[in-house]
Amino acid sequence: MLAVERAAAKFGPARLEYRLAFDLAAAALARAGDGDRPIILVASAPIFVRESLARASGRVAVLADSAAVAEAARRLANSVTFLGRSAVELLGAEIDGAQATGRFGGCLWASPRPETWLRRLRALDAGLADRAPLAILIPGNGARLSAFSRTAWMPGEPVWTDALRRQLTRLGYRTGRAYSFGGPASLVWAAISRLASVARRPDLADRCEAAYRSALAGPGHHPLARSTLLIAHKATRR
Amino acid sequence: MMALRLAGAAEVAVARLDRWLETMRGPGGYGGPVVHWWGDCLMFCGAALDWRYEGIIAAYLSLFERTGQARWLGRAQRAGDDLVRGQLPGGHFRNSCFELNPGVGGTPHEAAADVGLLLLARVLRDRGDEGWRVYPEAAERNLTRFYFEQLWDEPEQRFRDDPHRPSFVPNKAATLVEALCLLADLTGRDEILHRYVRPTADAIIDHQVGSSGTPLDGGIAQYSLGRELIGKYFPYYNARCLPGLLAAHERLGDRRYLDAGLRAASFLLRWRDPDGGFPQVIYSNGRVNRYPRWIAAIGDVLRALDLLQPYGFEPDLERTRSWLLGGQLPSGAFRSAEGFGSQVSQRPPSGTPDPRDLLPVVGWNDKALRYLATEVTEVRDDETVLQEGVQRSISAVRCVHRGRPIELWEDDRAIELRRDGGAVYRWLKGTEWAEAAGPWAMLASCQALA
Repeated sequence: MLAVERAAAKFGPARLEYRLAFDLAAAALARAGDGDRPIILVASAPIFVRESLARASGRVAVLADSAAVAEAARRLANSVTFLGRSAVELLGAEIDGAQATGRFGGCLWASPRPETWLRRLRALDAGLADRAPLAILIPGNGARLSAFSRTAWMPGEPVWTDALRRQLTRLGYRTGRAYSFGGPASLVWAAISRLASVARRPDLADRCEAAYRSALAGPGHHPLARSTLLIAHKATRR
Repeated sequence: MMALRLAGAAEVAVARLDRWLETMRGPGGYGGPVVHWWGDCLMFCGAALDWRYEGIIAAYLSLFERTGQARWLGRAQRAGDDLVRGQLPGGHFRNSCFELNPGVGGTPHEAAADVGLLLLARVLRDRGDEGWRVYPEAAERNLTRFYFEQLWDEPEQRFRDDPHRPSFVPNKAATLVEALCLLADLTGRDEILHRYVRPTADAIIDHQVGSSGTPLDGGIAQYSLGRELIGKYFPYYNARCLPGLLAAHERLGDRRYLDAGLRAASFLLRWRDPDGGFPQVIYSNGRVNRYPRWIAAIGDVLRALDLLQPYGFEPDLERTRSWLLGGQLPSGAFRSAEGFGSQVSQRPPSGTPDPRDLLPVVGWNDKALRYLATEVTEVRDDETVLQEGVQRSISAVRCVHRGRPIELWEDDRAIELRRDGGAVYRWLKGTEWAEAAGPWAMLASCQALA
């Protein structure tokens, strides 16, 4: 059993859209993962380390995309255990291809960076076992449009890597479900909720907040979603 | 005659609910999905060591004390062992955040788990069971490492709800008061009462409305941030304040705490709906968001009001008891609420429930069990009760989600939401993660699971 203690609270709460995405990713990895092999987490923001480790149920190898992420992983590693021992393995700046071939039972990648994604994908492709699930948190088109309104944007939050999907297909990955989070409706509800608060109508603000939560994960794939969780599976190669 | 009728109904309800609870156990303890006013936890369904353990342990101890049947003590001790085994080196309990799971440091959940541990310890100690000490040790570890070392704000003389913000939540503090009073009882350390319980109880009554003759009189505000009081009054959470206030009154002999409890109870009854249910939240501007109205959780309201009986407060609670008992599902679980589908519109529900209304949640059902356990004097063998025309635990109920029909289906092994014959959400009991074709709100249009 694995757990993350409150040390992680220093990062503050994660956005609901990310919590939803990490829930779905964890469920997918738990369902399809190989229990004997560790999961690899490629993280671009400290909050993603916490959210991932809180949901892990076995060993996790962490590849940090920045010094801040590496520091977060180090701090959390001391409070994460699996069968009484630390469950977190901190990888170097890169995956060692010679040692990593087929080593990982699944991957959560949150989130690809423009400057490193192609190199990372190639290394992950070598490191993942056949048929291993790969869950990737990427921005939706709506994130481009609403970026100006995100006052609390953290370093490492998803940015655009347009060619990622094409490259996955080229490598033979079978892309499964894509889950979308956020969109125009959730933006509108969030704005109305804020207005209601300013207008001293907490009753309306609470109702709008509920509508916001509902709209955040609305039916189907929205072309203007803010975030997308993509689930792919590596093909079997002989 | 009424009391006898209720006792009979409660006996059957308890037997069926206990049977359902057994189906919700997995590795590490009781699991399952959570629905709540502030959000749901539908994907993570693993064992969660949150406030469900307060109600479960207290209920089984109550059943043991009232029936003398050893199996109930065994159930309570097993739950206590879940907490002890699930405690982390820093004192936290694994997955203690209820609707925010997975995570640790949940409030009031860890204090509520401490209450369960301390109640169990008291019973075991009184029976001469030498193994009792492990439970208060676990509770004290949590109270010390988390509450005293991280949440206690010495200058303000109150427990924060968050180490990083000057927030105070009366109902959560009241749960903590209960735990601290029990710890003081077990250890004889009265300084706990004076250093922590008294200022905390004082802070709770600082949040109470004192405007005699007004509709909000006696209501306790949901929380404060620094000096700013947030004018939201949840009847359910007001009821959660009562046991802590009474515990403080009984230990410290301060009449103000009892008076505050009595006024909070009057507030509750003033806002009770004619059918015995309670609105979700009343605002200081006089507006009400009525839906969803809790059902299983109303066990806590009934229990809190019962606690005031020795002080001469004896309102007619029959409508509210009926409201609770009418919420039992064929599976044996109690439904969570009425009106989740109306949370945004606040229009009265049309009749067919939202699946979140019916989704059975351990962390609400423990409240029903705890109250009903105080109403029985005997619980016959489960199978005997179940043979009396009570359906076994297969349950299928038609619901509406976002205007489209959906079926909630449950048996001993799984909970599913089905549309057009296929599952769109499935939790196999005992596993950590549910399977969904999308986050909850996507269910209306998502494709079926493979």
